[in-house]
Amino acid sequence: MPTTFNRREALKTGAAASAFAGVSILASKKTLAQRQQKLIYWHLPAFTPLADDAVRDQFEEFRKMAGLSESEAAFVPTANSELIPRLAAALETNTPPDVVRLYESYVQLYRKQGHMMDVTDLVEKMRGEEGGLFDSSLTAVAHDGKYWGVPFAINPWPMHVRMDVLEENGLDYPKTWDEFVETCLKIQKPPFYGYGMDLGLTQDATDNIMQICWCYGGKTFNADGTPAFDNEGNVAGFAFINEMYNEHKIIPRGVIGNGDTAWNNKAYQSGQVAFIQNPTSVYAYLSGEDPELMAKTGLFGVPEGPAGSVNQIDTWSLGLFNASPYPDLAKGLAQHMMQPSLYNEVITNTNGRFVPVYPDLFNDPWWTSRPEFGQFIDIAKTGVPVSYEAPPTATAGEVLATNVIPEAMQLVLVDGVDPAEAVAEVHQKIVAIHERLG
Amino acid sequence: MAAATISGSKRRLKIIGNVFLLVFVIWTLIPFYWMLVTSVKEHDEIYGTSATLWPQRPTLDNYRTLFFETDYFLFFRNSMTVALATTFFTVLCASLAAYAIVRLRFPGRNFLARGMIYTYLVPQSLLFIPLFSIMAGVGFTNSLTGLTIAHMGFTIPFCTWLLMGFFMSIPIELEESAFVDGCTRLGVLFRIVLPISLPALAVVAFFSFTLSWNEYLYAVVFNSAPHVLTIPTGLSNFVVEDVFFWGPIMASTALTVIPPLLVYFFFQRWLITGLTMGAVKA
Repeated sequence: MPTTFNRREALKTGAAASAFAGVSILASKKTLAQRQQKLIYWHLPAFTPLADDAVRDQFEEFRKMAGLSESEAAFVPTANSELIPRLAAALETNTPPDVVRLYESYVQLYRKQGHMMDVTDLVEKMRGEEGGLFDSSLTAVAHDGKYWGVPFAINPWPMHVRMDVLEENGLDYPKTWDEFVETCLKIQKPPFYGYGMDLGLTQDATDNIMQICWCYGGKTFNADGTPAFDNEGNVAGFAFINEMYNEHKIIPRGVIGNGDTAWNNKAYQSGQVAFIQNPTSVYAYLSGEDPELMAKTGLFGVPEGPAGSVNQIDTWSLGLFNASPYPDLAKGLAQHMMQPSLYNEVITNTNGRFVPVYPDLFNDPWWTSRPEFGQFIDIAKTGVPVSYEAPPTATAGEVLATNVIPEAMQLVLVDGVDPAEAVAEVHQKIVAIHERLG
Repeated sequence: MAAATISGSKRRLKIIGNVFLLVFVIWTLIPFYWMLVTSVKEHDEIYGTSATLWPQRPTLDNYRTLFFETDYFLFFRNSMTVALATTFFTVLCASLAAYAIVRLRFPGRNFLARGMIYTYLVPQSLLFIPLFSIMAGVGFTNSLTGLTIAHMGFTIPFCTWLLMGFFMSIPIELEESAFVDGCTRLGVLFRIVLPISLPALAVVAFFSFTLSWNEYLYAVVFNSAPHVLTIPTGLSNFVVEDVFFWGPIMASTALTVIPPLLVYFFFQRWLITGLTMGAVKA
């Protein structure tokens, strides 16, 4: 048997292989990529099964109203961690879902890439509801006088506080950041620390750092979106954080090595810290898994600095895509879900995870019967996004995603770099990102 | 005296070596141990102020949550289907490809061999979008078939490369004798080469099974419909934003490591041989 595979043999085999491949593809039950469904909704979990079920029921209700069969509409549960890679691939191939809940600056990022549907008509209808919408819910979706996402929820970042520990020590919630440090020093007994601030290379670290800087008059961007990180407020904020970490030692040392946004959640949930600043994902988790700790938890706006108390909010919005082959159905679904009565059912079932975008819904007994949420309406009104003073932008998104600010903070904390120098370096990096992304 | 000294130093070296091995074994096993004990701990203990090495109040609640509140059995079945199909077709295709490259002479042989290795080196994070475009184009998204084909895209090159090395070590005289006796090329492959290559095939089967079993990125991107989720993508539901439900996560992970372990135990007789045999040329 010859070992040479000559040209004739190669051509014969190649022809056979090509014929086989061609027949296989033709014989495949699903041939070309034709989307079978007329309506696809990617559902991110809302933290509680009740809220998830409420959204699913509303989807089904709309499906029936629109006369769609079960095979023509798809409710696709999507884990948070799966959303971005899945959506990236779907957008590249022009097959995104019709509606999906998007976080903060992703609306602007995808708008810039030409993917987002103009939903100004929907948002104007929502603004026409009794009580209107919180203005803060519109910053993430507005651009050039139009709206590119449907505001879905406001996400405050309150201070979660161990009220039992304060009460044991005869202390009240501190009014200022200086009082905060004193309080922490009085209540902490390492390994139980006062402040579970995230200072790792994580997005939560950027949020925690900036919330202190804002209270010292700092900011990341000007209102027109141009970088403005190099300012005295940020320098003062960096210096104050350095004092908390290295001088007063009220923050656990090991946080520097953390690369996980859930670090401070776990620290609080395991009773290792008295204060953390985080969205109410922690509170919502406790309501289901640890009601005892939930009962000991207070929720407050941040203490005041020289520039006052500046709280952070971010927003979730429903994104609708231009690639949707049935835009009316997509808009219809969003409009159906955002009717105040239906929407309220979902929001109240998230156990405080989300704040409603309609101010009037704060009159619902769910909120009025829970004094721990007493400050939330003020936070929702006055809170600012992490891109303050600018609305969320693609540049802000990249600054957040690349951990530019925590990296510089770590240089101050670990290598003793001067805060002014670190702030100036961050500013240069943000300028470079802005020049690239606009 | 000299012999006693040599014997004594050999013993010391052996002890030191064993100590290092023991440390390494403990280092390797601790995560598995922690995973198992966490899977049977109550929530309060998992989030307690101090870490406990042994569960104080063992519970099967996490497993109950996994079995009765999630579609874990469906995820398991899907993962098993994809992994077994990938393994079968990988062993078949890699055997044929490796044998052809090693034994046959045809134009482009070297280019094909090198091309397969170089393309294998391209990371998944660069490939998933263009591959998704292809899968969507032929209608293979949201299907276990499509996922199997995608997995074969990285298991076949790797396993072909493994087998090439092994086939090169088989004396060609064996095959030539068979040709003399009238055996066909395929007959030589299936009757002589593959039986000798069982250790290598065991290695190929093991690697392709575990690579497919643990694969996450393609499973996330290509399959979004609930009925085709695999274990890695199904487990993502236990991480909600920045909150981790550690009990069920550990319970599901503890169960998920069992099939690869069983595959290893089943093939271990051949695995160690197969991992080293290809390195020795005849």
